[in-house]
Parts: sequence; C-alpha cells; structure tokens
Amino acid sequence: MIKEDILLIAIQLLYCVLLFILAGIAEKFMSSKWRLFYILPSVVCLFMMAYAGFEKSLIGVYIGSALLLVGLFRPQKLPRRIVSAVSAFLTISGLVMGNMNPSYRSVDYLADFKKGFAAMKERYILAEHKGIDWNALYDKYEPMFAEAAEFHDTEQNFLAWTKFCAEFHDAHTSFYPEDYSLAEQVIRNHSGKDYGLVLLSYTDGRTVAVNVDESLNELGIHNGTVVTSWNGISPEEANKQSECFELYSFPDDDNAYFYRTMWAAGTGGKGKAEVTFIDDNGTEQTVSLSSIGKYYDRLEDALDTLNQGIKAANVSWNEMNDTTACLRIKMMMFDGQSAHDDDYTGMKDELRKKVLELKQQGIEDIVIDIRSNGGGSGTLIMSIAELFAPEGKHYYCNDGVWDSQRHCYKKSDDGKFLLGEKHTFMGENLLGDGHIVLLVNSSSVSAADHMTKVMNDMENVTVMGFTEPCGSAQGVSSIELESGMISISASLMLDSDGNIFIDSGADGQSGNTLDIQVPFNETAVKSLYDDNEDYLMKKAEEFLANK
Amino acid sequence: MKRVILAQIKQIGKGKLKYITFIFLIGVAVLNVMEFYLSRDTSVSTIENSACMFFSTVYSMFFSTMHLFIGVSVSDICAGDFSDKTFYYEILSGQTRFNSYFGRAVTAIIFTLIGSMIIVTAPVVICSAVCGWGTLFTVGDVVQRLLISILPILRIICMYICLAFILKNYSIMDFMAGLMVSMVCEEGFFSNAQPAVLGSTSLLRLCRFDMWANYGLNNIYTPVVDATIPTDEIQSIVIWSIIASAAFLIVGYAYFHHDDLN
Repeated sequence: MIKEDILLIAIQLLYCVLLFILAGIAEKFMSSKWRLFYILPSVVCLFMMAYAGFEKSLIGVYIGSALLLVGLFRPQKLPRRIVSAVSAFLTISGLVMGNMNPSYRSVDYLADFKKGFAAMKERYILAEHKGIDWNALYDKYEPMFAEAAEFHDTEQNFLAWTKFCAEFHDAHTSFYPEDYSLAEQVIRNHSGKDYGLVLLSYTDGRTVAVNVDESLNELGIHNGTVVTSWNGISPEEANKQSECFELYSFPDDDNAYFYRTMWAAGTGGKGKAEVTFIDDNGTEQTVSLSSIGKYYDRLEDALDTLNQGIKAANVSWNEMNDTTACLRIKMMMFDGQSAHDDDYTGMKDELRKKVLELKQQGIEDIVIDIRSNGGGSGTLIMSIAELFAPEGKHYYCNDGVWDSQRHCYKKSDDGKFLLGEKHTFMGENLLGDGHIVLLVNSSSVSAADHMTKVMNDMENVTVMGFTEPCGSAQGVSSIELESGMISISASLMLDSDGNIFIDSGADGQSGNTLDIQVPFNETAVKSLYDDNEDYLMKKAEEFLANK
Repeated sequence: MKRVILAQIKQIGKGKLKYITFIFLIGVAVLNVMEFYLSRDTSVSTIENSACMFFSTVYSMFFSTMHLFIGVSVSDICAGDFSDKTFYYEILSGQTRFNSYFGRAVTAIIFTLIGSMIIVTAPVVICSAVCGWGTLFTVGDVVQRLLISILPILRIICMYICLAFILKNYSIMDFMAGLMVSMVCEEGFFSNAQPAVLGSTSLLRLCRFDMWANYGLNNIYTPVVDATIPTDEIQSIVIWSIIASAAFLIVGYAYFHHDDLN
C-alpha cells in the first residue's frame, strides 16, 4: 500500500482510540467543544482522499471517518463509544482489503487504451498515408488490453501498447510506460536466451553469426560463420517466432529487411538451440548450444558495435587524416540557450570559424557523422546545411495548413494536403571544392532524416551507410495516459508536391535513400567484430581519398 | 428568518474587510491580466496571447484566491455575531436557532456567491478587452464552465459557513481561508484527486483543458484545445456539490443547535 493510505489508516485508528477514551472524559467534563473532535477525522479523510486519490478498497476507512460524525450529533458516551469501535473495525477492514485486493490503486488498462486510441485516431496525421485500418487495430488489440485490465498486469499492458505502436511503422509512435525501467526489463525477459551469438544478414543474403562468444570457437562458430538454420527452420522464420519480433518495426522496409534475423538467435525452448552452419572447411554442421545468459545483452552489444558513431562529443571535430576531418553530431541540439531561442547563429559562427581554420591546415573534405542521431531541431539542420550547401537557394520542406475550426490539416478537393509556409535556405559553399560524406544508419531519425534528405540533394554530398536512415520525419506530439505516455506524429511536414515529407507510406518506402550502400559482408564483419574498427568511417575515408 | 435576513442585509454594508478583500482580488486580476499581456512571448515559439490562453493556463489561481473573499465574507456575516454576543441575545429574545443559523447562512450564500462569481468572471472579461478573445475555444465554452462552477463555489461557501459556526472566531476563519489558498495554489497537491472530491478540485477541473500543439519547421506552435468536459464529470461535480453543500449546512446546524454560544 502507498504511504498516504497507510498514514490515513494509522491516523484513523489512533482517532478511534482517542475518541473512545474521549467519550468518557467528555461525560465527566461537560463542554460542547468536545464535539469538534468528532469532525476532525472526516476533514482529514477528505483531504487525504483529495491528495492521494480515491481508492475503492479503502471504502471502509472513508465510511468509518464519516461515521464518527455521529459523535457530533449524539453527545452521550455510549453512542460515541459504539461509533468509535465500529469505525475502528471498518478502518481495519479497509487495511485488509487494501492489502488483499489485486486491483488496489491499479490503472484501468482497458479504459486507458480506449482513451489513448481515441486521441490517436483524432490526432495521428499519417493514418491515410500508411493505410491504417483503425477498426481492425481496435478489434485486434482491445482483447489484449481487456486481459491486462482483468489481471492488473502492467507487463501485459506494456506489451500490448508496444505491439500496437509497432503496427504504425513509425519511429515517432511509441509507448513510454510510467516506470521506464519496465520497458527494458520486459524486453530483456522476452528477448530469449543467449546462445552465444547474434545473427545478422549479409547484403548478399547469407545469414552470419556476429558477436560470437569465445566458447563457441571450439565448435567451429566465429564471427562471420554462415548459419543456414536455427532450430530446424530458416533464421528468418526463427526471427518471426521471437516474442520481440512484434515489438519492433521499421518505418522503411529496406531497413526491416537488413535486420530480418536480428531476434532469431534468442529463440529456442528449454535452454537449448540447434544451429546448422557452414564451417571453415565448407562442411555443413549442426551443433547444440546451451544458454549462457539473456539474449538482449548480446544483441545490444552487437548493435552498438554495428551502429557506433565516432566516439566524440556532440558537435565536435576530429581530424581523420591530413585532408579529412569529421564533424560528429549525436543529436540535433547545441546548447540550452540556442534550444530555448531556436537560434543557432552562434553555433553556425563557431562551425564556420572551425571549418576555415581546418581549411587553412589543409583539410579538404568533411565527414558528417549522424549515425544513431535521435533528432532535435530543424533550425539547427538548416544552419549546418547553409554552411555547406552550394551557393544559391535550396529547398527544405513545407508546413501544412491547420484548420483551427475542424482541428485537422486542410486538404484540397483532390485529397492532397494544402501547402503552408515554404522553408528554404541560402548556401555558402564554405568548403569550396571539397566533398562531404554524410554517414547514416537506421537509427538516424527525425531531424537526422531531415538532414539526410536536405543534403542528399546537394551535388557535393554523398550519403553513405549500411542502411538508409530511419524514415520518420513528422513533428511529434504526446498523449498522456494513466499508465504512461504515447508519442505520435502529429505535426505535418510536406514536400513541394504536397506529399508527406520523408515518412514511409503503405509501400514501406521512405523518402530517403543512400548514394552509396556499403555492403555488409565478410570484410565489414571482420573489421567491426574482430578488429573493433569503425568500418563505415574507413569506407568514408577511402571514398574521399579516391574521389 | 425573514427578520434575521433583513438584519443581516442591513449589516452587510458595515464590515469593511470583505470589501477591501474584494477590491484587492479584482486588483490582483487586473495586474495578472496586465502581466499576461506585457509578458507575451515574442520568440519563435509563440502561443497566442488571448483571453482563451489566459483562461486555460492561469485561471486556477483565481479559483484559489477566491477562498480569501469567501472566508472573510462568511466569517463577517456568520462568525462576527459571536464575539459581541448578538447570537446570545437573539436566542434569548425568542428567535429560534434554526432561524438564526439559516438566516445568516442564506445571506452569506447569496452575498458571497455574487461576489465570488464577479471575482472569477472579471479576469477573463478584462483579459478579453485587453488581448481579444482568441481562437482556441468559444465564449460559450467558458460561460458553460463558469455556470457549472456556481455549484462548487456554493459548496465551498457552505463549508466556510459550517466552519464559521464551529470556530466562532473570524480571525481564525481568515487564517483558514489563507491556508486553503496556499494549499490549492500548491501545484500538484490535488493532482491525484477525482474532480468531485472537493469543491476546489471541481473548480480546478473546470479550468483544465486537454491541450496540445502543432508546429511547423520554424517552431511556431499552434495550440489545439479540446474544450469539452465529459458529461459524467459534469454530473458528478453537480451531484456531489449539492450533496456536500447540504451536508456542510446540516453539520453546521447540528453543531450550532446544541452549542452553548460561549
């Protein structure tokens, strides 16, 4: 029980004892002021109920406090002692009920879902673009939330919301539970067991082991070993059997395809898994693996290695070689003042000064590393793009036009969104004849998606990565729930044709592409997982050296 | 009871503190409107500065400070006659306790309710004149909420009437009113409360809106407000306000009925 309820019960019981004694004292020393004491419990109870909220398990406590008001109307000793005793009994029953009731102070998860669903349906702007069938989604998920409500299951509620949000294939649509540690705990528990390896897929289609535990080397499995089946089925099929498969989705189908075996190596029952692989002699073998821990930890480690950006502070410079420098941007934020004012003039001046300094030192080319950049300010992107864009005017995007009467974005008669304010910027071409490589990955999202789109159109920029950026670029809003919060895409951004800016539609294709898709192959795996190198950065440097 | 009411009406003009409090709170409203107008945000992230925005963001303060006027007014009408033994002589002269109690209660309710409604309506009227109404919601939405607020305010007035007849001391009453203001103003104190549990929580619910904002690339925010209140919430506020008002009056009378008036 929460401390406020325990405090209320303790105070109430103490009152009952005191008022029981007071009934005798009041008879001996007559005064009308004794009656005041019989009002106090109700006042305290009312304020505690307001402070902590009403809880039906404690109805006995609330009735007990109201019952003591009888002492106000009946000044005789016997009625006062009777109500004190009855009130004490009711208070103790409230204590018992509170401790035994599984629905004590629990959220009504079904009502919470209905509220969140209704708000999403009203405010989510990509429903038509992504072909969302609201009725089908409701029919599919309502039973899950009903079950969570019936058994007061916080974990089930989290799983239901996370799967529901994954249906949108939108990185801006997510559920955040009240207790955020629950998210990692649940996913860790549902990710399966660690059998000593993670399965990823080469660009040529083969599935390979990465982040392999040393204990598997003696069985013939190491980083880069080709795996042909997992527990008798293809790794792709095994992936779909993972409980986490439905929890995660990718806005872009190409990225989903890259990660199509991500969860496979956590599946398997009773702590054993059978893996079939091609050994170093080219022979197909099958071995049985035992669980050595939780799969989530190994997968997290593998993805960190794959998706690493250069290890540097946000908006900081590193000189890679005599002619190349790297600008690392971990998030689209600079400092508190610029974020508050949404004015990045100061940052732009600092960057300009630094680039000119670097040029004097002989730097010709720049790598801008926005791998795993979670987004932020669009104004910051414009400030950076202005520095490096060729001279002249460049297009960014258009806003939508909001209808304040109907609470929706306006559309033309043919169903297309109307174009609002157009955003453009003027390029400075600070680098002159130099070239820029923009490094991205599937976790480069939101404003990082914007930067990719804007710079992709520049002739002096090459966008490079194993995968495209995420593919979610609309403005984000949030919906408060009792059990947490949902973020959704709610602020519209359009391209010049009135189409949705970047975000993938029902076809699963985002508006962002790569100029160079670096093959994920044996060389990449060896460099990343054996030699602990930043493979993509190496490829960027090679590209610039050979351009 | 009619004579008691008429006597109280004649006496209303005499107590200066309640008028000073009333004027003070109107002055606070004017200052708040001016502060709201002068501090309008001109940075990129701008929310419209209008009576709508004023009502939806800062209005809870006026529902809180209104306690000061209610406490002072009710204590003047109901508790003031204890100190000079007016009650004592009134009962001795043959007036029933029922008439003494409810005569004052009715006068306190009518006078204080009118004053309180002016205090909670004036700020939005003044702001509308200074800043314009705005686009977030209609005048009708605010009128509906202010009309519903009559019942929770009545509930609060009845609570103070009950307190006045129990405490019988208008200094302590004024202190209690100040305490209530500070409790209600404390952000988050009643954040877990169902709207109908207290009069103050009902009023806080009436000035709360579901609000979100859209924005473009230039970070200019367009606030979007849902001004509807669910019917079941309105019903619970109305029903519990009536029940609680009656309960406070009954408890107060029950105490006064057997009180020794010393």
